[in-house]
Amino acid sequence: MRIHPLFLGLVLITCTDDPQDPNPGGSGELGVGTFTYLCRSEGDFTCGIGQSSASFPRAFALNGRFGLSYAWKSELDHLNEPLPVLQPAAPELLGFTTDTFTALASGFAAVLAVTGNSKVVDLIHASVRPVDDLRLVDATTLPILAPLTELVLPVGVVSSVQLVPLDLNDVELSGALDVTWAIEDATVAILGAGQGTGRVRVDTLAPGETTLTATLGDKLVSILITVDESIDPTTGATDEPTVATTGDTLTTGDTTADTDATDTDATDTTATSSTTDTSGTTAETTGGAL
Amino acid sequence: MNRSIFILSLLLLPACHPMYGHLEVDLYSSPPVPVRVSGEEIELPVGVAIAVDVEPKSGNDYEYFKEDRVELDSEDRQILRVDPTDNPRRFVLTGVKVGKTCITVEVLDEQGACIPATVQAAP
Repeated sequence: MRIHPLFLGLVLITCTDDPQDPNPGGSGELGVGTFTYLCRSEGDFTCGIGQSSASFPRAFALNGRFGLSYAWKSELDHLNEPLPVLQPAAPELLGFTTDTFTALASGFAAVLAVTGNSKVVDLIHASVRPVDDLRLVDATTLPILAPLTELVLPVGVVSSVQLVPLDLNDVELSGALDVTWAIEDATVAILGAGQGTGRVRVDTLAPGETTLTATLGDKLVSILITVDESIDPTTGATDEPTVATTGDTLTTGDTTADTDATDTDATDTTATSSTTDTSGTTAETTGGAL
Repeated sequence: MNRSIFILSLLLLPACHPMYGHLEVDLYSSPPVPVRVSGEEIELPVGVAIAVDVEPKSGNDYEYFKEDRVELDSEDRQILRVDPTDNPRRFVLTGVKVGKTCITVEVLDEQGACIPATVQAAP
């Protein structure tokens, strides 16, 4: 039987791990257990708040906040043993308070799993990188991180936009960051919950065009929001956001829009474009090692 | 005569123990960046942790047993942290802050030389 070379190529691509992700499983470097990434704050694209990521992130954003947990690879080998405590190796690189790590400087920051008798049982390195670029994505399509340059929505709906920080090589950087959002024309759409986080809710009010801008430090990214009254908000047939290649419109957003971030969670909306938690996430199952 | 042999035996007894010569240090883990690890010097960037396996080598004809106790410690834990593991011959070295220090070696309660250690800035 002859096998088409194209099929072989497809199998090869399917079976090969991402060569740029050295440790997607979060295996400890001493082989004793597994580290799992946890989203501790709102707006981290990696997972929903309180949830864990299906894979260990390839890179972490400078100033990003996140949690980690640890689980033994073999429970049988560690019966009745408490889980080790996780400690940052270098406090100048990786801060730690209560249950949250903060990436304080670029570089590789090791996290040690330490037992009650001060023995290190395992370790892992987090690659911390400065944010070089920003990308906006449709929060409803997470964990797909396709760049969004325009959002076409009907009148009277709620949508959510997610900011994804990138490094020099366009690698997505995990960790919750403090993001400032602004909408140019508050008569067309207003900001809902999520101001100050990486994910914001947008409520459309009236037909027209406006610009949504996200600012992180000295970086900013914008998208055009078109509110089209010809789109039926109930059918949802034509309210798909327009996805295109990224193109940062470096406009300084007029921040006259409603920036109220005190009401409901950005992910709890019910309209046609509302955001739900990322499908690539799993519930936290490992014992809190922190 | 018998008494002389007894005294001679007592004098020779301490010489039957191994005498610390040097420490062989091998990298056990795979750090994300290059590090320099040997019995003569340790170099690693700040934030990076490595696991090393150590083996003491005797300076005389009597070798150490596998169960002979080896202790490693850092002279300045603010710069370099040295932690034991479940394996008594394996240690985790962590670059905490940029600087220089040294790692003290103790084998069977005998102090060895201090291994110079440098923690470099993040690459």
